[in-house]
Amino acid sequence: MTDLIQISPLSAKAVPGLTGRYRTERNFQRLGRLAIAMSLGFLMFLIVSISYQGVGAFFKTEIRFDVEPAWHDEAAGDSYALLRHIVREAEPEISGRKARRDFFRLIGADAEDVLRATIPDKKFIWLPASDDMDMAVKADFEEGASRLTEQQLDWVRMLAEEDRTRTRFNMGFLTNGDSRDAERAGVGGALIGSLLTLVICFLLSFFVGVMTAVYLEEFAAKNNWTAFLEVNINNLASVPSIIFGLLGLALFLNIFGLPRSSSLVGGMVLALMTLPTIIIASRVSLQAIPPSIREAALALGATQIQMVFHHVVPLALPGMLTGAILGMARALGETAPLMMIGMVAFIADPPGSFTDPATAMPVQIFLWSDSPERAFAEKTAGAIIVLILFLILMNLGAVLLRRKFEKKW
Amino acid sequence: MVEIMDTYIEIKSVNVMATTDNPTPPKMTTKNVSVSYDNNRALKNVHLNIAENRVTALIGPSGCGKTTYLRCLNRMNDLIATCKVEGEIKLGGHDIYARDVDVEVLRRRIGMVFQKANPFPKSIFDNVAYGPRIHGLANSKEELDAIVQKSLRRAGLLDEVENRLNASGTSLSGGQQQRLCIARAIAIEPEVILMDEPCSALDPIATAKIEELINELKERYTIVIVTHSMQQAARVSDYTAYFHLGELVEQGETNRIFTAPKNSKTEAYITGRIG
Amino acid sequence: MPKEHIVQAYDAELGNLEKMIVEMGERARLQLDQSITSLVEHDVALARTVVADDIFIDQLELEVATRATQIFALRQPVADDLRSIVAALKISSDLERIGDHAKNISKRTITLTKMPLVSEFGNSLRRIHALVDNMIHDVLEAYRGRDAKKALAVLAQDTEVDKIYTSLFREILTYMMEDPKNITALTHLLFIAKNIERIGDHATNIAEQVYYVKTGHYIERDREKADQAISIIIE
Repeated sequence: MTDLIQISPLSAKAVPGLTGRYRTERNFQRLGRLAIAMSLGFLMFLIVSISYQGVGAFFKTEIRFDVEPAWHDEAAGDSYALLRHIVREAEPEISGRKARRDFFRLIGADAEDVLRATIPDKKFIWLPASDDMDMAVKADFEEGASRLTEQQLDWVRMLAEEDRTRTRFNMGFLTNGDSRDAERAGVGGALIGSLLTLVICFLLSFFVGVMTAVYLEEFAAKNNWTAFLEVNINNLASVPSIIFGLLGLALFLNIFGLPRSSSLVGGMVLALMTLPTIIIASRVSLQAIPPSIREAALALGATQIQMVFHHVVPLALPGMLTGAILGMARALGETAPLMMIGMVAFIADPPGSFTDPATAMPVQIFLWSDSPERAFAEKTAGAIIVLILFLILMNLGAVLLRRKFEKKW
Repeated sequence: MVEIMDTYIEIKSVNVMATTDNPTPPKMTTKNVSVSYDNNRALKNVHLNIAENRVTALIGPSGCGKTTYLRCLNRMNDLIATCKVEGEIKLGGHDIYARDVDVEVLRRRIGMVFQKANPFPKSIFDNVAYGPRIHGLANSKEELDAIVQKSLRRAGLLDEVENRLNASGTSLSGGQQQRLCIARAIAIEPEVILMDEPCSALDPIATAKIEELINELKERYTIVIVTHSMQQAARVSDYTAYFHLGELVEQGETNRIFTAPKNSKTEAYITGRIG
Repeated sequence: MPKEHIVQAYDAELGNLEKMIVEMGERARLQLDQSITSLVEHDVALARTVVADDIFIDQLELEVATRATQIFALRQPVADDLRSIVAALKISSDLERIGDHAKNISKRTITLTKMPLVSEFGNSLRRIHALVDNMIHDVLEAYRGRDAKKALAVLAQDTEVDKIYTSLFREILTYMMEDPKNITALTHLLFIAKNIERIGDHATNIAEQVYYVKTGHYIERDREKADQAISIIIE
């Protein structure tokens, strides 16, 4: 054994300064990884906390009651009377006006809707629990986790022990419109409102945007005037969205007199807002088409317009669509401009047409987040999950579209 | 007795290089052509005739104006707003920069093949059929098929792609793509084909195929080729024009240019002495 | 050469080729000089040296051919480079032939030393040799300097050589007729004279090549052959 450590002339140690260089590189990479970890951490926190709070909105608690066909006839179509009858029969030991009323509070406001829709020859029936009981069940009867009284909590425990409670997927949350009753409220109306708004927004902004981009990029002479236009389009893209809302309010509602709170006006306002984004994205994707393709077409004696519409636009389309969908995704998340044109109103029925009063997902979230009732907090988080899923779906669509239409050369 | 007979052994002139330049009739003539971009002169007073059914090679160092000149011939320079062309360029006696000239009609008669093979990202068939389609050269599907087949055959590509005409043009190899571009150019039956360094991205085998193709094509078409490879100019062309700093320094038969150039600049360039 | 090549190795290769040609030329001159000296001074030893040394010129010719082929293959020469390499090939074969003629003279010298008679032609031989030697010298100069004018001047000198040769021819024939005993020696001498004259022709060939290298075309002229020996009839 020798004391001398043999350093290979090919090792990094043999070159002065090299180890230091490698250390710098490693440190830089570490910083990068740290940044990624942090952003992932924030994202995970958001997703976990939202899911934790919101996943309950997709489920509801139900209570089983016995029912006899004869009771239907007795109630003679009065579902409230039938409900009272069912409860009275089911819990004969609960006496006294107050106790009965307290028990009745365990049953959801939408129980009558369920009764109305059931066929009378069932032996028993599952009725939705009230939001307070729902909360209690979901919180595992924790003390102070619900607004229920001790008495009510005892009843709920009893129902659970008798195996008369169950948890079911809450379809109503996705299909119902807004409601003052938390157990009735759903995002269905907002979803349809958003969808209609986006259709209008897409139809207006995509075609106008693409044509603008094609003209500016392919036909317009490159001079100070077009440079001025370009600067303004870029500026427009960074104008706060509420300004567009104000513009929509002044222009579409006050001057044109279009229906207030409608998805038509919402779509038009959002189209105004998305237009610059789409123009910029379309121009970029037009610029990305190699000049060799244009030259090939022109050298064959194609006219400018043939060159553009036979070759350039089809090749740029995937990029334009991606830009449009990303613009749509941004529009989907906008609240401020919609509030300016009155889409913030409480609208219980899902809109049936473009001119019906409607609301949109982010506005719905905003409205619910303002609600004092505990159950609405869960609904808010649930709506956020729906909105995020909607966005993911749109972005996925963008990726798939690009994959499908993208051509390689 | 000594008798001396007068005997003269005649030595015939062996100066085969001294034949006059460009004796074939010109397909295109350019007189006093100058081109400037934003007041920067790219080309100065070029006089050059393009011989019919011959290959004319334009050589010279980068930035010498040879591509600029080539692009004047089918008015591709029109695309550049700052480009100004002066002088007279005639195709078959007609000024191509005249007021009533339609560039689409002109470009149908003067085809072009580019440095980088640029097939459309469409099928091989559609690539070749595009020109005939936009110019309405085929009245039926059968006619179009025939044009495509003929063009591919002339471009020497038919055997290789016959059973995959629906495959994308971009799926072909580099050399095949370039021949596809040539097929696309000749599908509209131009009179002149301009080639801008058509082999610069190709391997020697693909290059040789293109060069052989050029040799075959010159029977039907007049070809002008810009090339960076002097060997290529020597191999494929009948006439060579040497450009330097925007000027046409020397032109003449390729034979002569490559054995005995008259101008010392030409000599310095082709022998690799330019600084 | 007007300027250096961008690829400097190319310049070196061309320079090498030129150096070899010049060396061949100088060697050929020396060989010729020694062969004539050995002839006139009956120096058999020197004659043998000349015969033995011819191999160097032959080797140089092979070397030039090999190098030139390599340059063709590797550099694809054009224009003046091409001309100078083609010329180098041709000049080297001319120089090799000059060497062969010198060797031939020396071989005959060895035979001739066994016989008298050469001394009578010593002066004529020295004169014609001086002319031819000067031609080779000049043509090598012209080659080195790529001097077309000088090359043309070499062409002109050949006329003089041919004239002396014609007179030598006539002289030798006259001697032969005078005394048939000397025919053997005189025939050898005749061939020697012819050898020297041929060397002059080779020098003119080289001059033509030099002219071609410089100008890019061959000399256009009706070369009037002053060598009229071919038409001499003595009855």
